[in-house]
Amino acid sequence: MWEKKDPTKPQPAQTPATHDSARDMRATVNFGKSIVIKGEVTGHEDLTIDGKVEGKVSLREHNLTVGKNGRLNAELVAKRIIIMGHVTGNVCASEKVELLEGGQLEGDITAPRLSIADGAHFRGKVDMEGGEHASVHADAVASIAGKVSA
Amino acid sequence: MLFGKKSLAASARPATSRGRRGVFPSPGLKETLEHLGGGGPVLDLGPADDGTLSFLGELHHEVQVADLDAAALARGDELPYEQEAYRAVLGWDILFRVPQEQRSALADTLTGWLQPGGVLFLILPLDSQGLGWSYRFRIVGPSRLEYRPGRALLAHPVPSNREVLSLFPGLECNGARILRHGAREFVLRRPPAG
Repeated sequence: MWEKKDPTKPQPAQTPATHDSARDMRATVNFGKSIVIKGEVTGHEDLTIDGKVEGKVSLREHNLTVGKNGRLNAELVAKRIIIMGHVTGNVCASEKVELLEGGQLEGDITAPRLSIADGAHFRGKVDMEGGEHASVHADAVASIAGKVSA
Repeated sequence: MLFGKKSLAASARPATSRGRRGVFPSPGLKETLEHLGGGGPVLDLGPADDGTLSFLGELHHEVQVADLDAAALARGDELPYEQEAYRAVLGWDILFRVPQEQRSALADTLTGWLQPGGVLFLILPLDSQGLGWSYRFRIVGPSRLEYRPGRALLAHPVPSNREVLSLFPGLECNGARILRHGAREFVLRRPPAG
């Protein structure tokens, strides 16, 4: 009933546990609390911002997380945008915008899906049809040479 | 007469929630959505709810959201919205979150945002049992609302129907109804121009 392991049979190689976590670490870039950026941030990786940004953040087909300490006065464009900190500016996601508890957004949302948690704050317009244009917009913005590249 | 712990706790809780979610029919919501038809800018005031915004967004409405908490209302935060710009204004549980002396000014502001012929849809608790509690209302269908208990908020005495109507002398009352779960709804319409 139970298949016994045959010690003579070659077993698939075990992937080291560190491999995935190392890859995950590479896949997300973090801007810590002490980082202050004025200008445009573009990139091809997921990004978490816990610092301050004034300008624009544009991630082609990647996710943007504004951490609890993040203070952004910027236009945001990404595949998925998660806000736990404070954002002033328009937000455009091709997939979804999520405002988590404690998150504050003063600006317009363009996204096909939206999630607002209890304890989040939002003031602005909602356009749920324009989300599909977000990726196009993201591509356009990303093609412009950024002053800061993540 | 002695009250057990359970009955004391129950009396302190709002009649509308009793700690549970609920769904109830709302003829006023139906009327408001019918008035909107397939378009028209909507101003959503009160705790912003993703389900409501998604529902309205999918109906091709342009939705402007002012996520107002009690503190913002009491401060009289500036709400820079265009006069006579909205085909409908939705007020979720907001009117009793401001002190009585500020309600008239808030009502004037709400009235001013409506287009001629526009509709103001208000949800209020039925009585003061809801004081100190808040609810998040969500549109879950063309004539159905869901409520769920939210965080406690500052609150003031709940206005009677007569007080509510007297706050909006420039609007016609299309309906004032008691809903299930201790909620009330008002549909007020600004007369068309001319």
